[in-house]
Amino acid sequence: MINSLFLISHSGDIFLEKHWKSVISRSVCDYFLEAKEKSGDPENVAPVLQTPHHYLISIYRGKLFFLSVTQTEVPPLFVIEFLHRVADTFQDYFGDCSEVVIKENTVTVYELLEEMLDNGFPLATESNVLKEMIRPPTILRSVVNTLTGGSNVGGTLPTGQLSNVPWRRAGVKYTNNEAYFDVIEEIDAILDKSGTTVFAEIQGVVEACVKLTGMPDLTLSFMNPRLLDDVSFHPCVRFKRWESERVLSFIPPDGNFRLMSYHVSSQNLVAIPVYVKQNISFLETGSCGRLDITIGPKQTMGKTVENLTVTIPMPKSVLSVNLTATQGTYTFDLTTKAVLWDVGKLNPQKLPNLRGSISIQTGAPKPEENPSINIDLKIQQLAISGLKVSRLDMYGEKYKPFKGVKYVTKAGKFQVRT
Amino acid sequence: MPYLSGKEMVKELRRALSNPNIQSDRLRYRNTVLKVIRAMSQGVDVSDLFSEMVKACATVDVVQKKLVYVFLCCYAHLNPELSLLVVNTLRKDCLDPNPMVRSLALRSMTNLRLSSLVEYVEQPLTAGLRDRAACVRRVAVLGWAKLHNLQPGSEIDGAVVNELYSLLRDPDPVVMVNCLRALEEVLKDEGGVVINKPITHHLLNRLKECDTWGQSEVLRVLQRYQPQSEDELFDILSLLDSSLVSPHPPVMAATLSLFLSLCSGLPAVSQAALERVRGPLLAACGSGSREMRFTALCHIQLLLRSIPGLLGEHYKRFFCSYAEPAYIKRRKMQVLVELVNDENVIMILDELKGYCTDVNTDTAQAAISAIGRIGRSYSDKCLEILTGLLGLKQDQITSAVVQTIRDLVWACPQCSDAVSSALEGCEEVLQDSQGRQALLWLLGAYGERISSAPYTLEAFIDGVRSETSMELKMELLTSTMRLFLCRPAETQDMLGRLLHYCIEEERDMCVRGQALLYYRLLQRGIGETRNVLQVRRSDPSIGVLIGRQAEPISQWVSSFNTLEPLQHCSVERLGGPAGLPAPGAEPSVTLSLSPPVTPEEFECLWMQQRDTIRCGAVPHCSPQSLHAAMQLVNIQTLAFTPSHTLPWKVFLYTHTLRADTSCSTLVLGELLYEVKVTLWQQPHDVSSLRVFLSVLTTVLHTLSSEVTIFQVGPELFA
Repeated sequence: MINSLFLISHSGDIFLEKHWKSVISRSVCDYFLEAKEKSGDPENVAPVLQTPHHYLISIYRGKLFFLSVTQTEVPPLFVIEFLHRVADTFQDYFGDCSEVVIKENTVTVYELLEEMLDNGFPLATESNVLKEMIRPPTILRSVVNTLTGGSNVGGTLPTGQLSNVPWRRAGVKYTNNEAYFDVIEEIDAILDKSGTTVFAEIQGVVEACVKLTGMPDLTLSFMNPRLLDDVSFHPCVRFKRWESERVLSFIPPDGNFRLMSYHVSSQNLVAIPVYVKQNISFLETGSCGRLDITIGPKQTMGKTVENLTVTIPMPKSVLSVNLTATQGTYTFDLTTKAVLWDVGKLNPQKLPNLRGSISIQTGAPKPEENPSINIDLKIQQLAISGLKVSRLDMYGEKYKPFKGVKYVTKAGKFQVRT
Repeated sequence: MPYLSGKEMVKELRRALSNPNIQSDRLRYRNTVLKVIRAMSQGVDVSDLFSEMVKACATVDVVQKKLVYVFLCCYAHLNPELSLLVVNTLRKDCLDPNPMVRSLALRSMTNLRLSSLVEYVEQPLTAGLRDRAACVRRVAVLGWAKLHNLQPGSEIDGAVVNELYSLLRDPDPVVMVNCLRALEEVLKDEGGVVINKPITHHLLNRLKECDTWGQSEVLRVLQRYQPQSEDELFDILSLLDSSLVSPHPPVMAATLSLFLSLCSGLPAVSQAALERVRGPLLAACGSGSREMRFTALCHIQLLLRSIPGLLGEHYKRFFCSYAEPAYIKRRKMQVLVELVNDENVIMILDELKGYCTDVNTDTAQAAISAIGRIGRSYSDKCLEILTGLLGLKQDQITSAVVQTIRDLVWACPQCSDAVSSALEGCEEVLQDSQGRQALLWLLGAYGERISSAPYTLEAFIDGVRSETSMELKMELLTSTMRLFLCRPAETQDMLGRLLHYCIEEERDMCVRGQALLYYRLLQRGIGETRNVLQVRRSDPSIGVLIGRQAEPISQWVSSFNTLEPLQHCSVERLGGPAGLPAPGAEPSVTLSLSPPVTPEEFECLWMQQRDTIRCGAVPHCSPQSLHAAMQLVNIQTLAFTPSHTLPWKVFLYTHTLRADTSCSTLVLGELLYEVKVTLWQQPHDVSSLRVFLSVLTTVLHTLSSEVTIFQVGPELFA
């Protein structure tokens, strides 16, 4: 199915290759590099390319291309999902998925790739199983290894591979039994000039950190599960029970994992936490423009908006800006022509405002398009969709675990048009 | 470690590996091996250490074994003789009490990829199939596939195949799936693994046990099964129902694909299935991974071909956000065009209008032509936006708008009035030849309504000497001729100058030939000229094609969940002047024009031999429109006989390319007026010829709706 994998840096440098069937020459990547050259921006390279003898399917993650080569027709979703799984695994192992990190850990990377695919077919892709066969490098372990000559290759057969619950190893023991759940929501929204919502959607995830002894069977229920439109679960969740009772029933993997991700879409009303009053204009005559932005809280359910930053990518013909901010600081990046305004905490009594003039290259025509404003923010202790965990029950084990839930709302792709 | 050059490093490592002190110390030995692997992954050529590494293989340390195997698999093909030594160690490891060692040894043995070792590998592989530990069986099963790939032509051992079939009932789900995969590869020549009723039901019942990769694999293989009765079919469908809404896109897509192929005879059930996957598909469109979003969008386009109303109310999901890559934006716009209805048209147009001024010119152009497409049904609103865009006076935008307007007018002639007033002053902004060609076409076709048309053309004619584009000159000739027909007084002088220049000074033969043709045509009188140059302002057939009929699902089901929808549409243009069926109407064969065939080559090939096919009528229409129509479907017309001679002939050629076998053939053809089509093909391939003929007949159909064209019977291909 998947013949070979090439890792290519965003500058077009092939720095790692792995073949599961016969060796395919690197020159096959030339087609890809050519397409990349043509598209200019590495983000714009089409994910599937056809060459005379192969198909090239690639994903772009962390400034890296994961390029897989297949000789026959394959289901594209399958390959793309698998490549993302590979990238996820690297992220999980090394804490980051970048060229430097992968080059540092090439030995581990090769071992991982060897275990993940056999003859081009996925073999072991569950991170828990992999972690038992190949231990992730940590600073402590690498120090110990250099002293004792140990290595990060597991010496035993992972028990998970034989148990009925492939994602959990048998015989887990903890002195403090605890289970934490983080509900993290990101708002993707596009607001138009007048402040009305063009499009809004919430993408949420429930991240779990479960450290429980034995084989616990957990049930997590929500106050308002009907809110969720499209959900996608960790394989441990029993889908039948979700469909019939709307509760999450599962035997958790050990440690950190993503329990579920979900969307709350425009069908339900999506609350927009802030409003933006803005006025950006370029004068027809003379080489200057004005900018005036005010931000205020809208639907925050009484919580404070924190870490508020505003990014405005200015047209290329803008030379400099002269602005004053009533709160926070602003910077203007001369190369990217972006104004970055770091507001900080949003105070509802005294709304932050940024105003001033923009100077444009003399002789340049009036910019065609007004810039759009991108907003980033964070609200602690609030899931903006209104989702609430009502209870967590544990069956199958005797002890009483410590439980906790945390909510965070962030801005994802939050954009205001001007 | 101190910095050493490659050679010194290898020397150093060899010394360390053969040092008895290190060899006796397990930890130091293992560490040295680790250093070798690290050097290997940094690109240092450590193949010289092969014999030392073979010795290092004989150890009780699992970790060290694993590292050595990585090394051996990488360099075995360079040292086939020494690899023989390894096999012995590996075979011993296959009897190890630790199942992990056994599976590791088996996997490495099959990964050596040396055909000389096959005889040594077979025995441990057979034993591996009956191993107690599931992980050894998993490896052994796939090992047979690898072995088969090493010697593709060899005889298939019936006993092994039987054993593999029986392992489909293995308690371990991964072994089961691997068996399927292995059988598929081993029995490739016989059409893959045989799927009968017991196997199907066994696989379906165990579907839930497999991981997501296994599920999609099983579902894909099951597509080959044909249920024997309706009851059985519904049993299968109800088993599949839950995976249809699986949160994993690969599984969902594989299930839908199987579902649709099973219910090919039950349109109502397929329809219900499509509606059921709407949720998961939309979720995939909003997925965090942009590649996933792209793939989901491409598949949604397929679904929309059959059920245009499927996603009407969800159109907001397809609005583009600022940071998305251009290829996703383009797809989203294509989907938006399909979703337009009376309620959302204003919102969608507003949104598309915003994209027209995008920094990325491709995106802007795609947005403009999307508006043009919508304009075929909602012309007033779209024309308003398009003319508004002309006011921006930006060359790229203006060029795209003028081309879009040309295409729009071709499809709906009723909006020509609004267009003619908007075009004034465009010529100053236009820079590229495509945009100017479109403008010239419009001036030629609607010259009598655009008051400034002669002046605009005059400016072009004055600059014709410095013009490089051949197509533009041809277009200029035709437009001037057409304008001359409707406004002779103003145009006569400049037409004279243009013809004089083209005949006397022009170097390009095509332009000169065209000019001579027009010159002689004028000599024959104005009536004759009018007949030939009669302006075709619109294509009557497009009227039908606008409200595109819902295609039956069977049209695209074979390409669902394959790579095809991802690439084909990427070259498909968003509606040319004639909305003829795309070149890839038949799923597996496409027509292309490259490499081009010169007239000499054509003549040479033509003389060899040919088959004659009676295809019924070939319409008599103007060479330009025939040429343009053929070009749209990638057929090149090489030569025409003068239009008044009888029999009237056209010579054409194309290449067919089959997606499945990627073999291409060259087709040459002669159309004889109202008599027959003579074809020549090399190499001979009936199915691609059939596709070519079907494309050809569609084109001819569109060109002459009044002439009936007989269906070509298959016996003609004998």
